[in-house]
Amino acid sequence: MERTVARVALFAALIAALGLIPQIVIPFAGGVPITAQTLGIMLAGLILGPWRALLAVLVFLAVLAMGAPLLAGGRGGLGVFAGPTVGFLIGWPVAAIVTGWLFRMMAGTQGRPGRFQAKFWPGVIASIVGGILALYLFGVVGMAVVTDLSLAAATLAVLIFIPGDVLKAVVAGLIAQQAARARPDLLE
Amino acid sequence: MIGVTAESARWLRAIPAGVKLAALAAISAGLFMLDGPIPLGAAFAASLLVAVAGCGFALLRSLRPIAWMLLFALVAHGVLGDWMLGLAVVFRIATLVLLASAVSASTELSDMLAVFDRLLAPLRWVGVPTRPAGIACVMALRFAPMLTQRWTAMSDAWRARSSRRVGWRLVTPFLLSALDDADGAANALAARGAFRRR
Repeated sequence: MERTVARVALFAALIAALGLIPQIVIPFAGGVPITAQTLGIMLAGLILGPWRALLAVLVFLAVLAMGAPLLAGGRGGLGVFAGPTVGFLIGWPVAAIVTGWLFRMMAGTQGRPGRFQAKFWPGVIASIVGGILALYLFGVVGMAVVTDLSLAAATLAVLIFIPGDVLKAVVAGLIAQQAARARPDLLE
Repeated sequence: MIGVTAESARWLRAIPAGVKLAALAAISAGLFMLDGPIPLGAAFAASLLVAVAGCGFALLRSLRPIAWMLLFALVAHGVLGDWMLGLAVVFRIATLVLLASAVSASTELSDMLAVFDRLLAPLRWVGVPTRPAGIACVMALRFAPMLTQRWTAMSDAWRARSSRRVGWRLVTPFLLSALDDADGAANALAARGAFRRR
């Protein structure tokens, strides 16, 4: 219980910290600074597993709604839940579940039960399906609802962020692999 | 504690957090029933008045991050042939964001936590312990600035030793240090009997 609460709280804070960091620059994106907040969501899914990742994201959103300026660019408070990007916030818990669940499905337990292998490609694929496909589904629908635009127009508005998010999925896969190597009992 | 609480008029701060939140929810639902640029424009003007009177012009900055999105929505609706709808949509979103930001700016984080705890009360009635949720929220609030500081320290160390830019490579040790902290915090919680049933 204590372990779960502490990890959930730490990951919620980690998602926040990754968003507040301006200087994470992924070199091959042409030096375009990419906020790492969705990287935090993907990592939560990969490392905590679906349910604890869900809790971490919910804690993050609760704290955000209470007024902590934890979104990239120091945004926070209830205002962010009224803006056109609210769909992405709603999609975050789902993205965390899908990423974690898919990764656990693909990574498998070899030999020791409960011990997942942190393979690179399953991590990337799970991050893409959860952190991009599932997330953008909610994000685009949310934007279409809030702005009364058609789904096609809303999709057009967010298309520019997809390449950066694919890079983040690759980075998430790499980091999860490295982290699991450094702490072999991490993905219990 | 960190928060977006800003300078705000006493009358706005004096309203209980629960009342402000309930009013915000009601107004939000009402705004989605209104149609047309004129009633929504009036709603926007009214919210502008409340926001500026309650929190000053600084609150208008909350509109800046969504300005491009609003412009895109307006132009997209215009190009598709309905400028009036575009205008109505922009007014609606701006009103919602302004009012929500005004509530956040005039409410202390601790009051919000109290409301959050009350919202979880139904879970308590059916026997779900809600204390861990509250503790997790407070811990996340404490850890967020701590982790941000940690990142700054680690990237300073990187820059002192390397001519290359700080990149994603630093995220792995950062993550590991955070996870180790989590284990330490878990031990501290256990040692203090944080979740023992009373």
